[in-house]
Amino acid sequence: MQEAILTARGLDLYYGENQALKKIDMEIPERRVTALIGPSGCGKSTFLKTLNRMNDLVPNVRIEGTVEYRGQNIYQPRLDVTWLRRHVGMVFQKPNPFPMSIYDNIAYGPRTHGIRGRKQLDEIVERSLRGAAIWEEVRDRLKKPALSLSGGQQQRICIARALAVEPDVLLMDEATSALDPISTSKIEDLIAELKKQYTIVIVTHNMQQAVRISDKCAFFLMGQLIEFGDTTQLFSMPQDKRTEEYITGRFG
Amino acid sequence: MRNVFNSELEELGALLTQMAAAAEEALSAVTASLTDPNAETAERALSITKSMDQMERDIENRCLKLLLRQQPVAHDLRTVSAALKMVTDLQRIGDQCANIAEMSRILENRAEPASLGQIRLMAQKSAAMVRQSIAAYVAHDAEAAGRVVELDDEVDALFLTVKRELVDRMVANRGEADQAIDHIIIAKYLERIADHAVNIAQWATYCVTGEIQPTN
Repeated sequence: MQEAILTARGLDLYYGENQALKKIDMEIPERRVTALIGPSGCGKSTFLKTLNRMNDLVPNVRIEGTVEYRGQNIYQPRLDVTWLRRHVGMVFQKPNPFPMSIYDNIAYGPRTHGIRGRKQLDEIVERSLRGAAIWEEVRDRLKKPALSLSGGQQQRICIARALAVEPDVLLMDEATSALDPISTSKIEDLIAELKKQYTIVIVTHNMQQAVRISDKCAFFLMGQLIEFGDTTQLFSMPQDKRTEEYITGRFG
Repeated sequence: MRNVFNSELEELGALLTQMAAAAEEALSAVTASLTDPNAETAERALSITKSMDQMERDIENRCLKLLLRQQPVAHDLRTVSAALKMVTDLQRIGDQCANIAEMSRILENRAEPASLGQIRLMAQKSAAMVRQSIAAYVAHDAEAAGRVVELDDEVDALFLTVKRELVDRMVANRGEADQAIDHIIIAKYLERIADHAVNIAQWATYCVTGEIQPTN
């Protein structure tokens, strides 16, 4: 087994009285694609957000247990959340580029972290756009607004923006569900390329996508992690009846 | 949930059962053809095996459509992929029956040889194996599939007995050699049919356990 880069141990999460995650234990291997699947409200997106503390922003949220990133508990009080999010980046369901130029979108993160040199920023912008497989499409119009691009291109800009701060892990919350099949397949190809360098955790409702792109797959149901294993194993011979019912569409 | 898909999977099982029944019928016709003075039963066997070719195409098409439309996973995927493999074995069984029917058309001596009883028994056991293997698939019964594999040993033993007897006859009486060789070849076809039934039973097991059995 590949070494774990993120480890959840006994993770409970409550939204007020409502327990959204129940004693989650999970080891996410480095430089692999891990897919989180399950019906709406099962806790998969909540779990994804615990991995870079995006849930901190939700009122009345209470978290018990630990999540370790490279052996360090990310819920310890003195942890610098900006540092964490630099290493564990996120791409959302709907492309959300900033209302500024393509260039400034990508340079935004590095600038926040104090990089000011034009040459260095140029390099980062080109490297990130290449990394997100969109450089060739936008190299001649870097000063144009990012919002003038198509949805699929915008999503790759968002991925490039996430890559610009050189993260370790990319969290993707249904990053292709708002895209057409061609843009989706470009992002899927990109994910296959990115996993050589990055650890990727995706939430997806598209089961075939989970089969196509992930190495490991986790099935969540009502806040519990029901099954976690190699994707091919989980989709050919699931160990739990509930997993089988869900992935074969006979759930409920 | 998935009512249409469920009924399509059931239909697939029903079609395979029909094809197995055709194989049984072909086997019984070819066994009869060995002593049939006119070629009627051989012709019947050939017409059944021809219809089995059509059944094969039909089942394959359905499987491909199911893969395309339903994108099955887990047990569903095993059910459809096992069907695709089994249908090939059923069609090969049809081919072997056709081979026996072709031979029986040119058999010179239709006198009942001593080993005919055992050849009939081989055909009956092979037919039962085909029927039981498909039934095991339809019923998701790995144990029943396992019993089919055991039956194969009996067919193998019968083949060895038949071969030994016929060789003895050839040695004892040169005049019976041609017929004896024909019957050895026919027994070998039957033994191969039982092997195909074992393949089918192994795919039925795979359908339940997800494990592909080692080939013999």
